[in-house]
Amino acid sequence: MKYFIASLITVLFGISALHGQPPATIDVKAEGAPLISSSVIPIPLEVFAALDKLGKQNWAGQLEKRDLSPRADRSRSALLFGLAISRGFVAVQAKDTDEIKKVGMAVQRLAGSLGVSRPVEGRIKVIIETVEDRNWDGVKQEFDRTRQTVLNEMKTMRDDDLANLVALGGWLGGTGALSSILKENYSPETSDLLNQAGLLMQLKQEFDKLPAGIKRDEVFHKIEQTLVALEKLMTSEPGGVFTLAQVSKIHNETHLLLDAIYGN
Amino acid sequence: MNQTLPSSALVLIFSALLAVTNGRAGEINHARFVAQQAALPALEGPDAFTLRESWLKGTLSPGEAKLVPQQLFKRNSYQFWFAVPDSDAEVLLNIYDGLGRLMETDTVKVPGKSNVISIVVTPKSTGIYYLRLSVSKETEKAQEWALIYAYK
Repeated sequence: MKYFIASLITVLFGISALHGQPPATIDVKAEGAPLISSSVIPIPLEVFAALDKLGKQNWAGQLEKRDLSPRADRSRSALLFGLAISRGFVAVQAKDTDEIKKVGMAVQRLAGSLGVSRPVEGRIKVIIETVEDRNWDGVKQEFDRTRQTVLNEMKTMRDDDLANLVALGGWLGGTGALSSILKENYSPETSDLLNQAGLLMQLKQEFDKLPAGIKRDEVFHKIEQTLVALEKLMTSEPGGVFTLAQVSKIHNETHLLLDAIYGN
Repeated sequence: MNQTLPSSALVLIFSALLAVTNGRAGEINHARFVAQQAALPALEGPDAFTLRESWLKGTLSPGEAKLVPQQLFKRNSYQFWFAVPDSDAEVLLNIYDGLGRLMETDTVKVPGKSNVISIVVTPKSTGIYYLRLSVSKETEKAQEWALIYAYK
């Protein structure tokens, strides 16, 4: 009998190993955990999609008419490129064709200032054509493709540091719009979308790795301070809920930083 | 004959052709191509997923596993595709919550293919999750992998 049970265990274990059963738990914080340092940074549309499932949102009210012209400092222009893409996403949510076209042109100018205008030109044309057809899903996809095209070009040109700033700018723009909507129309149920401390830790690690030469502009000191503050603020209590006061703090921190990046 | 492919399929095929070069002349990424081919059915129809343009890549040795952190949002559904180019290889994909607990997912196998696998997950809370990618011990050699995802 003992032999039978032992054989059975061996067979079952063998089947499990053969099929590569995953462990039931993993210790992600353990030293030596096989963590990959990079991840895909969510675009604002992902969190907007989650928000839209709870009802119609005031997207038109989130369209900020702020200066998206290229700046002398390339690092700041890279941040603005990310912000422009996120504004494009908000404009699509609002179904504002004029604003989408304006953002498209701003994206084109910023791409030019970053030395990546050629691959973006075709994308912007497609965005304009797709807007005319009122194909909103198509426009969303084209903005994401434009973003990725620029990131790929930057990496090809060994401008990985600027690519990280594009991703950071996009995240900030999306979080600015998200926090405004959550503050205007607070509910505990929606506040969980701000639970992004883990993502912030990654963004901050990437930011910390940027060489000093990239962060000469005074706005980068403000970014550093804000990322530290947001990492704490965007950690929810168990249950994932943020209070209105917490949402307001996140909103204020984010918008003060956006003011600093826009320079007004 | 007047057969036309759906526009999103055409766009995806075109993207895939561009993508295999990963924006760099001469750099082919077959793993991503395999993943994108597997993704096509999920990107069509009224309840389609939206494919993200960003993706991840790396190398895995037989029996090795890697963890990829990923921010997910409650109320969305996500579909991930993990692929390697070697059609004889066997890949595994699982997801863990922020506390490191294995989550229940719908696994979508691609008929006749062991080198690409897909899972669908609907997170119960917003936060960081961990995708565990692995290649079975029986696979002969190290594999270049690609991970893509879509949301709805």
